[in-house]
Amino acid sequence: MSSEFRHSEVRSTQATSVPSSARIFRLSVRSGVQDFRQNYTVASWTFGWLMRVLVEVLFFALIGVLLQDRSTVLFLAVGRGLFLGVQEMMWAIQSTAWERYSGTLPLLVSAPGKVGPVFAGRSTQWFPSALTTSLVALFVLAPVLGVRYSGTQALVTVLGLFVAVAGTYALALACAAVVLRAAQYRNLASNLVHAIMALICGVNVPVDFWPTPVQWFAQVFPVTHALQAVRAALSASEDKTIPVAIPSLIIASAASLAWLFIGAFMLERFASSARRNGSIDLDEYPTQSSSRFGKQKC
Amino acid sequence: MHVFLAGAELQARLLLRRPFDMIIFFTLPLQTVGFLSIFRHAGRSDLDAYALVAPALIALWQMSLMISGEIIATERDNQSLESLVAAPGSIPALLIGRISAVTLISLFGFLETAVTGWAIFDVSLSIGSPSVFLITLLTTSLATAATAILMAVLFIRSRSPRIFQNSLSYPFYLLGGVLVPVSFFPGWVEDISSLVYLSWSSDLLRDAVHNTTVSNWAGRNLIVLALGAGTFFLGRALLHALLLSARKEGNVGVI
Repeated sequence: MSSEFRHSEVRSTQATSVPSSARIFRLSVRSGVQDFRQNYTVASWTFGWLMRVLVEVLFFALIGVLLQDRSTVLFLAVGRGLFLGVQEMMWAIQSTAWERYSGTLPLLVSAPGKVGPVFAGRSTQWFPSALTTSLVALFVLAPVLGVRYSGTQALVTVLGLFVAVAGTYALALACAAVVLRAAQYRNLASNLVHAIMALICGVNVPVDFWPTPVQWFAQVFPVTHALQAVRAALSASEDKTIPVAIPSLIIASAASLAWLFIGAFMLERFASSARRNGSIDLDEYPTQSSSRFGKQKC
Repeated sequence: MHVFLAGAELQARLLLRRPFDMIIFFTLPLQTVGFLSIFRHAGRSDLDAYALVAPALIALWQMSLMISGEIIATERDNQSLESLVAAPGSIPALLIGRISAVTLISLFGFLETAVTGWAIFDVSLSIGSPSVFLITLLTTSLATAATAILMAVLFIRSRSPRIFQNSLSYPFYLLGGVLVPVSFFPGWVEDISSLVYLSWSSDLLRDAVHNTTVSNWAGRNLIVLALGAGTFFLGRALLHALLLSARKEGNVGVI
């Protein structure tokens, strides 16, 4: 009788023990928000981060002043302004690796349910900051530097920004799945990938400046196509703004979805291989972190 | 001197044992190519020197911010700060030794940008006035080390030094004129920039590359040294006050 009770208790527990991916994602988003709040107050974000990134855009845009070429000022203002959000989303790599350093990764991997929603949810914390900094750069700073938008051009710019940021988030999750296997390289990986994107994706110079193989490689990044859509819209007449932007926006969205599936697949594959070969120690101690938001423990 | 050298050796070993922590050296070639690509796209290969000097100075500053600036905080978090303070030997000498090692290693950035520029864009590596260039490197390194001391003291007082580390990057690159000379800025910005040693250093380095004779190079280098000296004495005083207070309160391990 006691064994029947235990079996039924286990069956009952198992029947309700696996939370849905949506619920896991929702709870992880909440966890990510707390991460962000731990690192920033409104004042420190505004005066510590927002001001810094706006100065970064200004730093690049002023190259056009050195070159005495107004078109370069405008080109860099738009490119670097949109790229602010893109580079911030690469911190999804760091925030994914924090699970390893928080000591919660073994529990996550051994718990029922998928691990992908956990990492995906936790890294959504960067979205508000990424989008806000880029929007301020594109629609407050860039106009000061001489960029002008019509109504439809502004709409395409906002759409392009959203697609670029969302696509980079998906790309970052895929990179994070690789970095989880060697979390000490998270900062290097994040910085390298966004430095490569800044170089070849049309942020500083047009994509066709580079040799053909580099141009082809640049196509894998959603920001290449999103920025292409924005630039095409900004140089088009009012009636052609949306038609010239749509093809690139569609490609950017498709690339983003592809990276999302790749990222989800790789995260689950990481978890299953970790379960199989026991590569995550239950007593793995977090090392001293050198990340942007170091999670240091004694 | 013994403590200074011990600190320098320790920091050099720490850095070389974890080379991937020096992220700037991995992104420096990309940054260099990025700046060069902008100038080459605009047909301005005469500004190549600007694109090589800027990333190198950025590397110097970044290493100070991210590594030198964390030295005291790292010791505190490692629970070894109390032992250091209790041990015989000058804490400032140890700190200066460690920071000096970081600064010396940071100079590798100049070599890295030069090789990158030459390899990718066939940039000419001739320097018009090598002696002025080397002297400026020396004074800039000293000023950077002095600034790092101040950073190390300020960061340990901060709840989240990462915020400062990220905030003190591009504003100082801009005010320092590392890429676009401050002479292109409005007068009031130029006045503020004159208090940032990087603005003098970047002008001197660019002038030394482009010209065989550099006007008033001695006076300008003295200004770099003076700004560095002022920063050093301020940092030194704050460090002394910090440790004195911590010893009195008995909270060295949690400052």
